[in-house]
Amino acid sequence: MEHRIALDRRANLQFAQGLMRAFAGAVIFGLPILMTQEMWSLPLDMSPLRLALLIALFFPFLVALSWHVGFEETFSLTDDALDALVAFLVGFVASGVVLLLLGQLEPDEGLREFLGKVSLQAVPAGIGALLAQSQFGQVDAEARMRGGREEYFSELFIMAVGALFLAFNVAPTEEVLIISQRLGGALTLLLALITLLTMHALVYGAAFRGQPLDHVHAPWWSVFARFTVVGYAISILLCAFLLWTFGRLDGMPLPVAMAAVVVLAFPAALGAASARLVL
Amino acid sequence: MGSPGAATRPRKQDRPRAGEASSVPLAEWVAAAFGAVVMLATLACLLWLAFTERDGRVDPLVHVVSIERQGERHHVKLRVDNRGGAAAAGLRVQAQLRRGEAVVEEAEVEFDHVPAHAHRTAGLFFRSDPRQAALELSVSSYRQP
Repeated sequence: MEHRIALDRRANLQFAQGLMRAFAGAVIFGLPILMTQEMWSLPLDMSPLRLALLIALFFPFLVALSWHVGFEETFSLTDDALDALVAFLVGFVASGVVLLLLGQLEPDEGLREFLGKVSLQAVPAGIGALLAQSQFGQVDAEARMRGGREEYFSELFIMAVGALFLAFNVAPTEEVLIISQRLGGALTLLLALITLLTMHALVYGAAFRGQPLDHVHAPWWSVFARFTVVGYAISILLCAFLLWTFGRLDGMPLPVAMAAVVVLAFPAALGAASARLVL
Repeated sequence: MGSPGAATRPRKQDRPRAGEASSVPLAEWVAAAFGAVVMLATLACLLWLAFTERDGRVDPLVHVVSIERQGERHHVKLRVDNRGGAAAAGLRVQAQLRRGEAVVEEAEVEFDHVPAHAHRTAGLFFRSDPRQAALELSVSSYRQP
């Protein structure tokens, strides 16, 4: 019995250590947008319903991410759900503390302002909290990536994580709309093509790195169709969802909105392709 | 949590049976419970806000917070409360100092952004003492953000 308690104490201590690492991850990954002006004003104007939808969809996403690269070697759905909840809490608290430190949370602010700012920032910070293990943790190589790189949908999910993370850093800014309005149709199309080509180069680079994969010997068009095109489509969908959530597409005709999505998909798709290299 | 040593590393034979949760440290259960409360409370509040903001009107109410003398001028601190469910940008507030029918002095201030159910403060300066005259405040216009 004594042995059991000692073990528990050790496990609790290890959890505390992991929690510290998660906080570090949340702050480091969250800082670029915690210090972006649009992220302070955006939550005040965006629809609370869309923000609620973002957070509701974010939870299963965190559970899946925990399964892949959690800050613990989780081995059951309960553990992944617990890790996701802890990651959200860490993201929420870390965002609140940093915003307070930066003078962006006034004590007399209403519920709407406080909740909008902190819960929106908790999304990227929560991802950072979970990714902290794969970035800073001392995990051995086999345990590092679960689901295995061989698994196709696992790879697509990792691409989505990379896309979401980069898109989230850029989507709130005015620049996306400014760039898309300046570029015009032809240049936007060119940007889309160059994004696709760069992405494919990165996918190929990733494919030939590390452990052998089932698609190493596959012809280029097969890799292009299965990874590059699908990864780009995922990026496009995520970008459209983010821009819509932030209210950036409101009142825009479809072609104009699409141009903004393609501009945002430039960083998102590169994030998707390189996530497989980095994570 | 962390990098588990041999003692805590789950092995195949350690796979938990249904209802068994001994492998999760107590601290994690506590943290996760807090996380669940924060997430559910956040969602509940956002849905409540969405429900109360259905009307989507801007409804500003202006009032004087304080008046103080600063040398030759008088500083009037204003507060605008947006009681409506929609945010207002460029909200203009006009102030007139009146003595009887005559307008003694006028001042205007523009609030960059007043979110729904939020308040903002601003200041006006008058040469005459607003306490010796009637101070009339009115909101004149706003833009949708």
